[in-house]
Amino acid sequence: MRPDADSAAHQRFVAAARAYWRGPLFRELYREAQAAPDTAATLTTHRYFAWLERHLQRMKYSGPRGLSAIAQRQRDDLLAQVAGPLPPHLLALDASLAAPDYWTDHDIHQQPGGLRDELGAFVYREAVGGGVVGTRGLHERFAARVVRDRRVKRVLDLGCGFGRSTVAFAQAADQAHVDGIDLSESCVTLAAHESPEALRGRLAFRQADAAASGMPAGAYDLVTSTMLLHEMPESAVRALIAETARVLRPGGIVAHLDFLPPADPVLRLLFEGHARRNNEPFLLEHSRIDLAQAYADAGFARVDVVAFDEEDGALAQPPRAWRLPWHMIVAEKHA
Amino acid sequence: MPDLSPPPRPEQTFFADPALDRLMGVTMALAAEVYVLRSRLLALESRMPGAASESLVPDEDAAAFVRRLCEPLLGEQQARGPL
Ligand SMILES: C[S@@+](CC[C@H](N)C(=O)[O-])C[C@H]1O[C@@H](n2cnc3c(N)ncnc32)[C@H](O)[C@@H]1O
Repeated sequence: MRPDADSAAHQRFVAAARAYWRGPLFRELYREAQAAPDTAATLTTHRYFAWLERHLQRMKYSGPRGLSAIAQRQRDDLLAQVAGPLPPHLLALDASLAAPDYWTDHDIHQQPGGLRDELGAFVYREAVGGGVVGTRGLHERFAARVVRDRRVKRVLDLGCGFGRSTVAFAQAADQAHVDGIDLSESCVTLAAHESPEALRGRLAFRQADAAASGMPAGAYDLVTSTMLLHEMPESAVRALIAETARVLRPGGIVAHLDFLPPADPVLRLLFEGHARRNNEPFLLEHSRIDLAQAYADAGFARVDVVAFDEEDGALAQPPRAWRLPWHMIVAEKHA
Repeated sequence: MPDLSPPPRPEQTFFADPALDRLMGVTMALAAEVYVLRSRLLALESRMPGAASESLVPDEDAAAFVRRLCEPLLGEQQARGPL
């Protein structure tokens, strides 16, 4: 997107304020909170931290210089970018797909209209472009760790968004065919149109629900998702686990990258607050599921949950900046 | 253009007095306006005869502006005095 100069300046201000919020202000809060972690929520610094988290996100997306308005002003240009012809295998849309309520009832991340709007994927891409949520290189780091030492030929990427995670897996597994599915027409359309030429023969994007994908049974060596589980209510996550078991071959692997509550009480307070402030109403639901039990019930041999350092030193104590508590959840289907 | 505006829901509040939540909103809106104006002014000044040849890095200028703006939020004395 090419914002006018005033909007670009506004966005620069918001980005700088967010950097201050997650850096110096967070560090001050963390330091003050050590004296009495249980009452940290009542600290004045916490109130400002919470306010800024909520409202800097609003200022980023909403208002005349917000990302949504910037995209709307360039509507025709943006849609022209995804209007050209594609190889037929690369994109399959499903106009009859009934999107689940949890996806339509909230504007996730405070993005007005969420990813339901036809410009939603452009706004989402612009919003994460600076690496605010997914640190630059995060997708490649995750894909490399999952694929390492494994021979995978067919991969399914659930909730693929505009294709960052899908492309990362196609690069990490250099012989594999990777399918990406997402509820959002805007996302899979942008993903297909922006996919690197050199990888197109091994990629396919489809509009579908991860909990009932319609993909063939037993077809995949690896099912993966990045930042998907936390957007789904518990019942949908359970359906997704069953669906994953169905589409994996015996001995296949599932690998999710997602957020689980930190043990540190202050970080936990901030994580729980983040759910509400960032319009992530289901953020805490998948952490309530006994994943080991749920995967065992679905026919998996074991499940490993490990903290994921999205960049070197990310897990340092005390934390240098506010970050999302990334975890890898990996399970193997019975052979 | 599609109507993306949601039906109004009351905004979340974080301060003991919700008036502060709204006033913070006005303050930050003003700060954003000042920064936009500052950017315009810097662009104009850089085109004046005799303007410094090395120009400011916009991201660094924004970071310095925000440091000046937000420093009072840390609640720390700048010169040591009674508590
Ligand atoms: C935070 S984004 C992550 C996108 C991508 N994996 C990445 O890492 O950039 C989550 C995506 O999941 C999609 N999503 C949410 N629920 C879904 C479901 N039930 N089935 C398929 N996609 C879903 C959303 O539309 C969104 O594009």
